[in-house]
Amino acid sequence: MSCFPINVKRISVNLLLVCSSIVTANEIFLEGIEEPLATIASAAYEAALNSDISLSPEVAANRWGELGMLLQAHNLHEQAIAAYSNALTEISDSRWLYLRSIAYGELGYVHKSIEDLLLVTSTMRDVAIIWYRLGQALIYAGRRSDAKHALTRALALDDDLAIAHMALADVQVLNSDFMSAKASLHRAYELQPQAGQIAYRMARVERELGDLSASREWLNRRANQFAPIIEDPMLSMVAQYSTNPTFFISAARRAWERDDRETALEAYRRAIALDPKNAENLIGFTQLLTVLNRYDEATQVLDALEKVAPREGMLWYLRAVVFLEKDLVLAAQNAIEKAIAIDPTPQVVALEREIRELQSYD
Amino acid sequence: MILTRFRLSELLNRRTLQLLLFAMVISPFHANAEIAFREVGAEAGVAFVHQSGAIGKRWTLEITGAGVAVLDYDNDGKLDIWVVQGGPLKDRSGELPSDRLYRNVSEGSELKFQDVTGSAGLGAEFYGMGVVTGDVDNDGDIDVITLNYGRNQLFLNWGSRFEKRVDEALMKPSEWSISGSLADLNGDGWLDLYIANYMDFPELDKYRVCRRLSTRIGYCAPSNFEPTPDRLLLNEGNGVFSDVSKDIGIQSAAERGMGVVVDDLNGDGSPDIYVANDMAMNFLWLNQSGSKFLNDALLSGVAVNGHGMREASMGVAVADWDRDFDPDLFLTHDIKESNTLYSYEHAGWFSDQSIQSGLAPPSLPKTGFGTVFFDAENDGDLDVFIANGSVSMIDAQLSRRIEPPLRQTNQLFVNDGKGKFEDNEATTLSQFEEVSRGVAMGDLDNDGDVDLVVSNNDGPVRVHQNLSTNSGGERNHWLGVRLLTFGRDALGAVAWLEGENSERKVVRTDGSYASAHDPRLIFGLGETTGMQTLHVKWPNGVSETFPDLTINQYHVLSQSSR
Repeated sequence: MSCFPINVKRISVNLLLVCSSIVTANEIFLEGIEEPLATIASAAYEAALNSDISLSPEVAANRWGELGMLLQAHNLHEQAIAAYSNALTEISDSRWLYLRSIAYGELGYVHKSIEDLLLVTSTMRDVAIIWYRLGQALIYAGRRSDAKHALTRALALDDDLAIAHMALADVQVLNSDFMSAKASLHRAYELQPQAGQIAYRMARVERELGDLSASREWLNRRANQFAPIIEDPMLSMVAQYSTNPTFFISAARRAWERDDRETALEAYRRAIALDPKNAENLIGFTQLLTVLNRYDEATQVLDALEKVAPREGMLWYLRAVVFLEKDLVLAAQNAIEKAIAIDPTPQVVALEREIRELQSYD
Repeated sequence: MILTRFRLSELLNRRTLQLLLFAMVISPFHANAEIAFREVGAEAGVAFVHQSGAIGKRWTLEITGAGVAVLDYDNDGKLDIWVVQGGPLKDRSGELPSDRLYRNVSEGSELKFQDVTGSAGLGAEFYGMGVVTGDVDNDGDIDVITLNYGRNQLFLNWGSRFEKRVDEALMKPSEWSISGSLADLNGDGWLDLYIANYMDFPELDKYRVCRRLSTRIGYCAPSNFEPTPDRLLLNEGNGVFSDVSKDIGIQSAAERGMGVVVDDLNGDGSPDIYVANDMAMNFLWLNQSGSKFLNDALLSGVAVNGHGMREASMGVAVADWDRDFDPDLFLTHDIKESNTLYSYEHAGWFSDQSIQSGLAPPSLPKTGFGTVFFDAENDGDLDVFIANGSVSMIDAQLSRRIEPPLRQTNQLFVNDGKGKFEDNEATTLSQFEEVSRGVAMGDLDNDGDVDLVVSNNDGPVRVHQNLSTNSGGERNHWLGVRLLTFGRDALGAVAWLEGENSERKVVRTDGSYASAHDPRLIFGLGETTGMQTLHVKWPNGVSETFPDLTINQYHVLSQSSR
């Protein structure tokens, strides 16, 4: 990777002692990205590059770190690693180490991820999620004993961390300790029964224990392939940097699939805030709101949709649905007639028939 | 004594015991073998460069091809090379580059190939993806089926020239096929054909570009397209196929198929079909007496990885890597997903041994496609080669204007004889940073070890000649066999050497990604000397023993009775 020279004045004495050549910052490649991200990222990059001696190393590191978060929020992991690395040459900060470890993990560099996580756990000793991540990475690296230690530590800090129970079960399976694995998975399942990965692992363990019918039963309970949900404040912070509504839409869909309704709604709100004129997103959000019987908010979203796409059939169909739920049958009829005039899909026609039946004496 | 053994097996679980025994039996061969390869492609006359048809539009289609086959098409005892070509995607009205056939004209150990594409009757028509080999008309020479984006084609071999046969069942549907397998699925003596179809790709004019989360244009993920069902064609005799996909059950599910192997995967004696599906659950089609196939992948533990996650499966290899006399599966996957080693535990159950085997972590930063199990140094255990090449653009390459920005190095994992694989980066196999897709194996120089041919997307084909030796600088001993039934290679025959912990080998040309292997079997013997006895279970279930086989040479063995 080619490098940009940075202001040598900023480099601390210690660093100058160990560096034999000109100290450089890792280059951040931003070509090909679209607005608004292009402008925001370029500005953040410029600001970080131009940090001068009048700023403290903390401020300079923060500039690089924030650029890293912006890039990580857009899946630019290679670039995020470069930015975090630049931050870490300014000052050692567990936040940037932690986020860099995750970016390394996203690119499959498990050993580099472990290196960073080990450093993080030496300073942030009481954060369960970090110990879990370390344990998970150690499993991949084949370091079962270290993984068990890290996961045990995570669970000592937070026994409700379902994903750590599940990871501990993985270590126990690797050690052929299927009974312990079963117990760990039971605990994980108690905490997050909706996570399909727990059920699948349980099916595997039952199969290893020779109980085929129990195995089948667990397979039947596997409704999806999701891992247990993790609440990671640092990653949530990264997500706030996303300027791409697609990120939030896919987050909303994932949350919805795992029945995490509030997260789904919040993600939709973020997506719409970033792209308020996207009719598809407005329709998707309204559908979610109507399923959850939140008709007042749905009406507000439909008002916004009407301004953007008044000739959208789904707008009038959804208006009819909302009116109907509020027992406003005539308003519903008017709305569905508009929907039929625009796009008489089978769904629209069925609702129109339903409304007509409601209005008849039959 | 019996009591002691019983207690030992109680104390140690089955898997641990298996690996321990494995280590005890195999480890003596392992001292510092010198694994060495030399890349000789262009120098040996295989000057092929794949054309992906990329013109900067980032069509997903342009990064999926293509494969390669090693086959002895002219029955002269030397393996030839068939390389699949793509060509332009946008306008295919002019003169098109075709697949190429390189005839092996080597004398001695120096590999030499001659381009015989024209004289052998190959011609370009469709955008090539994969290749399948086998003698479909039982006339004693190997035929070729090319799998295309477009119609698939059958090239019947008449000794030294191929003739394109119009086979309605094979050609009629115009689909995107990538890998296939020829195997006698209904036991009638004729090779049937399974075709793994990928997905329904739109006309290029209607292709909508995909943007990544970064808003950069990237290749569209398969989830943007509808999967197309696979096909099963029964050979009605003489290589005339009939499409029975619907009736036989394999169209009860459709996913995006990329790799396929046939083997007896539930121990009932019948050949089953395993399909590696991209971003979807894999298929395990269990053979119900040749008349029906049922998908049992999920219950068998091979639909998803051990964590319960479906993966982007690309290539697949099957072999008895742990020498416990059953077929194990190895699948290659996308970046951040590890490659997966499914170890056969007992009938109907595989366990994910990716982490234990050491194959998982080094695969995480790579996107694997073609893959083979082979014994690199003939020390008696199976190593793994993986052809890698990304499908999502690598920023570091994009910033340097490298096209396609998908280059990765390939990987050789050497079996340490104790149940673990170690990444060996020292050979030419791992030195090229390219967009590798297919890999085919075979002994090109007939010196008793396996050479590899790697095909690259938008790049040259690589011919890696195996020069490995043992710790004493000598070549390990070996035994080679070509097994014939009905006058053709006995695809599906199972063979093993007499003695404890002998590897179960199967005659096959399928596996890897879009590619086809030499069906001959090579048993690595390490420093073992003396005549060997070979046991064969032929595809029709009849067993036969061939005693007193001289080592360090090939034997052609035919089924004596049916």
